[in-house]
Amino acid sequence: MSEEVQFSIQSINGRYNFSIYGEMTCGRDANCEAIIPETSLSRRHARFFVKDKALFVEDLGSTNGTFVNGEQLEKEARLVRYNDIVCFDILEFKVFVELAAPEVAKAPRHVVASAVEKSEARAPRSWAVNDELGHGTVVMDLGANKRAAQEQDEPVLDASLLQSLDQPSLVGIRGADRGKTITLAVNDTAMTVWQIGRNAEMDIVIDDPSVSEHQAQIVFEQGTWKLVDVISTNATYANGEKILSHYLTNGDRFSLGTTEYLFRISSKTDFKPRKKEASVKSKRKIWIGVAALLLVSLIAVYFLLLS
Amino acid sequence: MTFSWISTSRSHQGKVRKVNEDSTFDHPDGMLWAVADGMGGYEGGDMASDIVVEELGKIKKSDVVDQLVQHSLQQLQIANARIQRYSIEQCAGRSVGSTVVCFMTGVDGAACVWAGDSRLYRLRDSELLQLTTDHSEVAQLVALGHLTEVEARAHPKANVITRSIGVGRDQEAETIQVDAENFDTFLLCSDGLYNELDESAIVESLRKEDLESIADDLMSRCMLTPAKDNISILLLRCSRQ
Repeated sequence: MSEEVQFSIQSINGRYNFSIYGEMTCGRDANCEAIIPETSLSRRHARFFVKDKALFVEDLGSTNGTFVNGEQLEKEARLVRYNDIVCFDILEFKVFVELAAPEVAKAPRHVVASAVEKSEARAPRSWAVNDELGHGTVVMDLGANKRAAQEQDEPVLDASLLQSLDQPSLVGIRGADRGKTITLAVNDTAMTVWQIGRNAEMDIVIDDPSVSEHQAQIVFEQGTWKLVDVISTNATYANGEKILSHYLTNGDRFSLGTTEYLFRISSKTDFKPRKKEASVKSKRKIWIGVAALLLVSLIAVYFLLLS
Repeated sequence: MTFSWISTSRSHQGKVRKVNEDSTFDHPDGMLWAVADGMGGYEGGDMASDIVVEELGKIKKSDVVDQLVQHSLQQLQIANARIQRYSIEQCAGRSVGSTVVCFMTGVDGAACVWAGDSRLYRLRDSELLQLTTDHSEVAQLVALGHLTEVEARAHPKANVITRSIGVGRDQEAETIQVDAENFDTFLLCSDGLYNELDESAIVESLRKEDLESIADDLMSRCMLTPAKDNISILLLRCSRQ
């Protein structure tokens, strides 16, 4: 059981959210860990630090002062706790505490994200990551995730999982869903769409901070499978290429963030991707031919009349 | 010395939720009772808590608490695997799981097996004691002194549990021995109850003579609150034979 806690401060106006890793200086200066570009703040305004698993704040001789629950700080650092209001001049922050997710604790970055919203439904721990980074600008250490993924890069396919593939499915081969099989249950006549992303509302939820809230969708229509990127922050790749949309065929690999899947369809099913597109193209060719023929005969008639 | 046990249970979807994802369970052989609170949305949570109680129902009658504990852990492990399979096959891999709090008695005493934030309380001489500790993020923060109980309820992570049946590779239940005495009243409940009612209100209800009227009173008290979640209670009282 993890006993590490993660402190953060969230501005009440919703504009700033900083996670505190050990120590964090706040101010206008670009060298501060928490850069707050507001004119009323000093360059180096205040400093937060964690000591004996508790959070403290001290004023760094700022012009307009630092206040905790309305009380101005003198030289001494002051203990702050959950829901305390820390105010730099008139910019108010609320102190937040939660249990540290192990992977987040390892990455010494200050995450800037919109305020954490309380989700209605209860969630198991593995979903917690979904809530931690909001919809706003997210600065995160993608390298750390990649390194973590590489460490466990030897996946993958539990033989029993592959054997049970009598339906179209996604097999997680790297990242968050490694070793997991997701069955895509289809109805032959209707169009079926699976939304994919980090958000708990998605049909396929990927518990991976490098995946966008709503990153992509898989569409099954008239026997063809299509992977569509939904204008995500971190691109979607299919067979190593960045894609906006891609027709999936058996054995295709595609990745969202650091999570990679293998797309499998049953050998019994005879899917013919791109058939529709091919027929459109050939029809187009016929029309071009007819038009050219008409043009040539028109010119011939023209010359005939001239002569 | 043996005890005879009487029990009753109630479960309600509450005022907000459309589905009741909780399940209560009363073993026909009268030695094991449980409350399970499913999660996972749509039908997932409902199914998960059903699977948990169904598996607990397969436990064979025994007078020895240790055996009951071992059997229930085995059945929870089976439930865990079944829920995972259900999640992959029916819910496109969405996380589906359930909490559980399970109370069992034998000639050699009583025990509780639980995972998640469903609780076991004991009322003895008008004093209410929470015997289980929640497997939740906020419970850990309370234990570490960062939050008060009241702050924990309103915390944005109040809904995040750290152990469950069905989400991880293995079931993650914890076991404790429970000391039972003549006239003790035990309450097994989902978080829908204690998130809405203060301990003082629960104590007031539990002081009533008859288990049925306690159950009705607890439920009607809950219905006066916003009742945002499913509410399930199971009451037990022992008397010496």
